[in-house]
Amino acid sequence: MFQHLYRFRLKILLQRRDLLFWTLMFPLILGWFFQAAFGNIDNAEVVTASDVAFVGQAAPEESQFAKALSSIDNQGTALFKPVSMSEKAAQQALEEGEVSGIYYFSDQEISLQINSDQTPQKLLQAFLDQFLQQQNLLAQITATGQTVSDEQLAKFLEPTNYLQTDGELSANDQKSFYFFTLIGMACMLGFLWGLKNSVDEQADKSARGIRFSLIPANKLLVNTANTCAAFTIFFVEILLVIGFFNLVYQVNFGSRWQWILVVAALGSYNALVLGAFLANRLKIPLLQQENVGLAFTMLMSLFAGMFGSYPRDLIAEYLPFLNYLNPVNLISESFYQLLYYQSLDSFYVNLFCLIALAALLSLSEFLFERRAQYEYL
Amino acid sequence: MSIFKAMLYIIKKNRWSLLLIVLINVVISGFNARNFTDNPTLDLTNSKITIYNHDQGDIGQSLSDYLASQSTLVTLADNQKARDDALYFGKTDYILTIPADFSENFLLGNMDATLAVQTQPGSFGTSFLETRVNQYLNTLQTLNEVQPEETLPVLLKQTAENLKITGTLVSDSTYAENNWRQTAANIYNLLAYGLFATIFSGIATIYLSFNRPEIRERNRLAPLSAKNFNGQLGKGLLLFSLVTLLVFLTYNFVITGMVFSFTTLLFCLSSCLFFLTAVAFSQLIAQLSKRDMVITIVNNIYILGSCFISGVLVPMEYLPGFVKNIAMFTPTYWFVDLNSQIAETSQYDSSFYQGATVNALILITFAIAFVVISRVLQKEKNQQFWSTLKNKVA
Repeated sequence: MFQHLYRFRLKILLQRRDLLFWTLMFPLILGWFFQAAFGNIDNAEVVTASDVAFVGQAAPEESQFAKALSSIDNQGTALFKPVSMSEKAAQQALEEGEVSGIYYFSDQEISLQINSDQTPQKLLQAFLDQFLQQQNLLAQITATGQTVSDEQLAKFLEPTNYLQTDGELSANDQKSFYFFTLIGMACMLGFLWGLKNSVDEQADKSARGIRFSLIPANKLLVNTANTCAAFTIFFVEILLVIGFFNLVYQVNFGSRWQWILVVAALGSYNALVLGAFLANRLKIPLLQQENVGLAFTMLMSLFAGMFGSYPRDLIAEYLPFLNYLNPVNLISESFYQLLYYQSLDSFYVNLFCLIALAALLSLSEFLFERRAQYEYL
Repeated sequence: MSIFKAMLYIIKKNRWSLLLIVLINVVISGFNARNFTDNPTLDLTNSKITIYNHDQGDIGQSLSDYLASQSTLVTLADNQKARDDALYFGKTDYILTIPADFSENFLLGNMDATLAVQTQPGSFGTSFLETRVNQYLNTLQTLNEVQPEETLPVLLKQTAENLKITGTLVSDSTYAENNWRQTAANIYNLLAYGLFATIFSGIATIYLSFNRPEIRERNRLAPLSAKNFNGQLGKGLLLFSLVTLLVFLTYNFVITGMVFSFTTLLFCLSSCLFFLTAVAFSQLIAQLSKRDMVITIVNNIYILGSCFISGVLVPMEYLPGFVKNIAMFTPTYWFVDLNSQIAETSQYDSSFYQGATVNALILITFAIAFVVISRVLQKEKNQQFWSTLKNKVA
């Protein structure tokens, strides 16, 4: 009986092209927009050389300063290129963003003009400070009559580097996180399958429900067969989405594929029972139930960081328990943890939350449907 | 009036899905509004740094104090997870670890006297921290070498004194204004999602209700001329759209600090031009659609998608050239571009007006094109309807 129900349910569900569109094609299309928008986001802070305007009289100090400025590099890439300009041209270049800043050289001082508070500007200020502090220190030492050996002077002018890059650097892969939130959202869109199942099972909501209520089979068996059929379709869709993101959009998922499959399966199941929950508890027409579900999914995605990490951080700071109730966040965070963390302790907490949510929603569905009776049937 | 009342009823019935779009827009705009600053000058000490000072000597503490005065100190739990999370989500920019034997090794001149640093790979971060830390330690080292007789506390004090010398920083006088214009532009750009999606959802829902075959045929038989019917419908839709525009503009005006300026006026004008294209586009698609699913598809794929590729949700400079080329076929791109032009210029000279006029004309052209297509299709649809009716009667 189970096999029969399962097989025919699969056939019925596969005819629903609108649901196939929302749960398979929609995430892939949105993925293209994500790839277009976030494809370059990891290069946003990447080092690129920028021009710095030099304005003022050509004093020996200026060439010394320019030489030192040109020597600043990051992993072999020179960060700044000094360019001599007139004051007017420099001002215009600064306003148009063609130069990071303007150094003014006069007899009395060197000053810096900037119009932004980003890292290059901070670096320009730090460099100016360093130059002036070195000059002052040298003058101070000479003034007190202390002698500075040539070796000390050379060492002073070419300072020792005391910093060492830590070997365990995090990868800069913001793009992956946005795609993880998208997978979280794609998983939750599976509520449409759950909604469809539930509507088809209830006699007061559909003709198919009346037919189901009359068959000589246990309701639990019918429900299980329907859920299994919907789960099979949706889980395959999610795997296709993950595979497509990985192979076509080059999203990095790491190497813990066995856990990724577990999270995808749990996420898919959560969506199905969420759909059933909405169908059972919301006493509004099907179309409005679908709209509420879609809106709810978008809201969960917003709070999981799909449109920027700030909403997610804000919730983590003030209402942290909400992050454990948000399946989109649980799924996307689990993917992130599987990619980055050596230890999986916090991942297990997320996994437990996903299991607990699924159990709660399943129990609610079971309690609602087990005693459903129809007066006029 | 009956048509108008029916429209009000439809909007009331669908108020929650419309309000949700408004809510998403309000939340994202609110998050953007946090970028407004009251500080009229630039603050370069806003880098976030985390220091794990395990040093048992005085140098670690004194270096930490110096770095704290140059940046904003962020405290984190001392484990790899906290470090990874903080760097990944931008809670901190640099993580510096000072080892336990640092003071000892440093004073002995050992090569082991190094500090471990973590930043986002490939960023400017390391260079910035390198400049500050190396300057501090090299100054201390030089003072130690030329004054070997001095005690460490004296050397640390001298180092701190020397590092108080800073260059003159000239903040651009228009910094605060530039920051306001840029943030305000980002907030007005979000109308490309919120305003557009709300207007489209409202207009499409109303059209879909009136376009249902049984309702449409009933209305054809009603003692109401087609002109009167369309007039009431048009006025109602226009009123709904104008109220929506007014609500969004008022909200934006409030969260951008209620600034009465020429720039605000330009942002409002730009929004009104975009509003025209949004209304015309919504009417065209709503007229063609027969199923409710169209609303969700257009909202989530066309409207949201065009926001992704036109620089609404992600800055335009991150987008590859071919994506921008595709985006040029949507009004959203020209709206965002117009707002960028308004935000980037402090002096509204002739070159600004020339550029802005081009964008404005393109937006108007989009609106006119949508209206013309809509009219042509409507005419064809009417002819088709009457010929079908005549055939049926015959």
